[in-house]
Amino acid sequence: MNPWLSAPRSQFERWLFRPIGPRAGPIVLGHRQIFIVPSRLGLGFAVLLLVLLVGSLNYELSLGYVLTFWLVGIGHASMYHCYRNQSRLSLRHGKCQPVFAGQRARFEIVLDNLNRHARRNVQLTLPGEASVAVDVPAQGSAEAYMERPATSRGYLLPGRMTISNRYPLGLFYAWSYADFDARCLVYPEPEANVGLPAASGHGRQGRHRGAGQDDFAGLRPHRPGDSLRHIAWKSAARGDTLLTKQFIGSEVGSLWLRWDDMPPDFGVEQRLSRLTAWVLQAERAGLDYGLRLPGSELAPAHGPQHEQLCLQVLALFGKKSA
Amino acid sequence: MFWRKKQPATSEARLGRIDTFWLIAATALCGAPLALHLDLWMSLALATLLLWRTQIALSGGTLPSKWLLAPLTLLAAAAVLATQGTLLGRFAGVGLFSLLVGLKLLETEHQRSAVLVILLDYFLIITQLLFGQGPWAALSMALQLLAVTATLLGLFGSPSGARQRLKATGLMLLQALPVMALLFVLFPRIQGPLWRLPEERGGARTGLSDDMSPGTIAELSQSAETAFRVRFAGKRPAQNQLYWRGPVLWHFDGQTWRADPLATAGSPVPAWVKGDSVDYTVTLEPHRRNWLFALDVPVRIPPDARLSSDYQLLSNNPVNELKRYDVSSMTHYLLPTHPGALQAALALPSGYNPRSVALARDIRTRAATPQAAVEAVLKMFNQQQFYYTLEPPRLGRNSVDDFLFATRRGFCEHYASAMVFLARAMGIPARVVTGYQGGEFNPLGNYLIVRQSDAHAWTEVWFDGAGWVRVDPTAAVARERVERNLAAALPEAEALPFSLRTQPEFLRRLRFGVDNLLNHWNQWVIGYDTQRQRNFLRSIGIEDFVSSQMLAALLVGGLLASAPVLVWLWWRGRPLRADPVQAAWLTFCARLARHGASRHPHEGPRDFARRAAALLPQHATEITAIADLYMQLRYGGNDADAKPLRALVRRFRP
Repeated sequence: MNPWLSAPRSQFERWLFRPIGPRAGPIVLGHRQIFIVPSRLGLGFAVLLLVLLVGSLNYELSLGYVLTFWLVGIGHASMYHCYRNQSRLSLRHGKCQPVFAGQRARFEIVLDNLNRHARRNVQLTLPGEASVAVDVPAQGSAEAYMERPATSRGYLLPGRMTISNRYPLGLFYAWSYADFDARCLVYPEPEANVGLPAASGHGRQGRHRGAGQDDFAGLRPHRPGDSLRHIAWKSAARGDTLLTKQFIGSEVGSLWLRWDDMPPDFGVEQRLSRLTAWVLQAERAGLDYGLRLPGSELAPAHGPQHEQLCLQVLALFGKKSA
Repeated sequence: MFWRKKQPATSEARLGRIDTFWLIAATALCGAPLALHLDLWMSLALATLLLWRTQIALSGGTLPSKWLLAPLTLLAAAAVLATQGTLLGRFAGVGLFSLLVGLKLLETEHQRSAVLVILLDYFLIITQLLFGQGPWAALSMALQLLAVTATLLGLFGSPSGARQRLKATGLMLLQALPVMALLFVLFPRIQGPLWRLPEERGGARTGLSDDMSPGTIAELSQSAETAFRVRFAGKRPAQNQLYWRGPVLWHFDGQTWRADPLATAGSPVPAWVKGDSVDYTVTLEPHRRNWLFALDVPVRIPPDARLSSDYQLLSNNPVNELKRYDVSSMTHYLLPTHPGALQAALALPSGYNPRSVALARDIRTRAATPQAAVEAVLKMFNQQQFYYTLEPPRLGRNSVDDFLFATRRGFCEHYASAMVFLARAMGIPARVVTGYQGGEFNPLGNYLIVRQSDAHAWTEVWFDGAGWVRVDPTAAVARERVERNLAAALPEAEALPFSLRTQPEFLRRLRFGVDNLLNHWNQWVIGYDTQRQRNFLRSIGIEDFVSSQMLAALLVGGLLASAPVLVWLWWRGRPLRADPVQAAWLTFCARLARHGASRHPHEGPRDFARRAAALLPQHATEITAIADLYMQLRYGGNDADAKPLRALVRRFRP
């Protein structure tokens, strides 16, 4: 676009749409949020009305005027319908499952309709993505899943979403923007075709756990990431704090996944990518594994929670913690 | 499931099967009424195209290629040109347009082109109005509007069931009515055409023509169609005074009487009139010719009309649509003429009707004055064995001789023709006047219905000193024709259409009632023109289109017209009202939020109250009390009374 045009235009857009940054939601579409203009079909319809009007005038067709003005009335009513189809619609975001870089993040958006009329064909669009159309029943809810490619690790925000509709006749286009601070955690992309590191000096190839639970060493407060299997459920039932059972010897048979084990010419992302692959493989192999990064360390453990914790640490390595 | 996903509605989306059928059906509905007016082959061609498209949709086959459709389009245009002689004009233009819509439908498989077909369908609706604007046309228009709009509704996300779709559309059509009514009343009507349709060839025409031969008017008399309706401002003249002048015929070639182009083009010599004028409004059905009808001598004529030198009232434009005009006429008058015209009124084709010429000379020599001679002819018609009939025998080359001396059975054109022939043969200038005589008074609507069956031909004879004098030879044969109506004048055995026969009283009243409704429709819907609009606007205090009153009317009217939709939408869509307990709780939460204790979405009332009490220790007791009461009402059991909670919340002012 012509820069002379685009600069004032973006100025205008900024003034008009007043971006206020990502919000937690729910976002309710009030009259400040809804914009409505005639669509391309609406403009074609206007031309049709003009032709009908001139025709009625020329041939003195009174019923032609009736037809023309009836269509004007229909267009007028459809404008209100289009506006109402979006007005007072409430949107909130749901959970977003973490993904690996290179995959597509899927944001769940819930549309709540408190009103007594159904919303039809509401389109949700993320920039650069195809729209998703949803019908929201009266006093009901609908979910839509908005996908975005996750290109790099860290937290991914959905970005400014457009909510639009052309209901009922496509003559008008109403739209609103919603900027959710829904975050999707993006793990580093696991390096392909890489084996686990050899057991280092004070570690050894892990063995399958199963019966190694007898070296009970005591309780400590529960930390996120502890395996659910190690929670002291009996004591949890008595009080309201969770305790984790600790076992001696669990460190002994563990595998350490270390930043420093990487070839020295590896860059940060490359290292993270390989560590990610290791975490996945170690978990799949049923090993106890610990993670050692510059400035942080995760004690060897095992299980989906531990795996997730490791991946999260890898995803956010070097990022400002949010 | 509460939700369903749809394909994104981009313009490249393919048209669904159901939507395709809707589109075909809507187009068929828009094209159907045209079958009444267009050539048969056009309707059949359109039907074929639609069936073809239906078959493709049913079988899931592919659409015909451009290489087939392009030649078909050219073929359609060529066929129209060949049968109609033009591509423009009503019959050719509308026919071609409908075929093009059908062809467009054959290449429609995406939403983008479907939307175009819908716009074309909307235009197709208006074309039928070129052929008539009666109540049936209005009904058909409304149905088509419903079908086409419902099709459009389907493309942009609507209930898929046909009933639901039609209901939603119908509702929207109703919501559109106030705006339609407002614009219909206030939108400035502009007089006159911007351009004209080219002159038509063919096409059914009813009503009088500008020539007359034996049988012309008798044929017209079989038609019960309305020619025009008349409302008199004052007293209605006597039935036998109701001579509605139409084309005046001068030239006779032995068979046919024709108008004089010179007389039609000229302007009249002012007439001498006296007495009171008769004021009336004529609402003329379209007949596609220029003439208007008025009683005897019009003294005040409509602005877009003129009087010819033989006192025909002519409109500047052909009457292609219902036309209403005001006229004042005089029934006492002396009608002068251009001197040259008298010569033309004496011309007779030589070598025709020798016996009639001889008879005329004989009568003239025995009569003292021209008046007496004309009287003698009328007396002959009256006293000798002449019959008034709709089924006269065929006449030969000497038509007047055959009629006067052999058959003696004729309709008004026979008598008028013979009268003028005899007068001219006697040296008395005479001419044939065609038009309508009489009419049926509708007491329910207080107006006169003049039908094609009232078509009539009479004569005007020139007497020195008296000017043109109307002489009706038919009255001499069948007085009832002029005094009452055609049915009364004809013998019982004659075949007349049922509607023209004398009918039982209840049927007559029913017929008058229906005609009255039709007349109201004509006056207020079809005939709502510049003049009627100005009168109406003046009656509500708007003198000018560009005025503050007009602006106010538009604003207030616009608000009033908008309001029903808005109110309806609001009422049907209003949000669910929270129950009183919930409302009180929400108020309470809102008050706390203003003091920094806003409830997190995941927080239950107990946790929230605990946290809020910690944040606002000075109100801890109240907060706990309200939360406890709320939880008790909300989750404790039935028959909860919200009053104490509301009272507590009302008193809670942190």
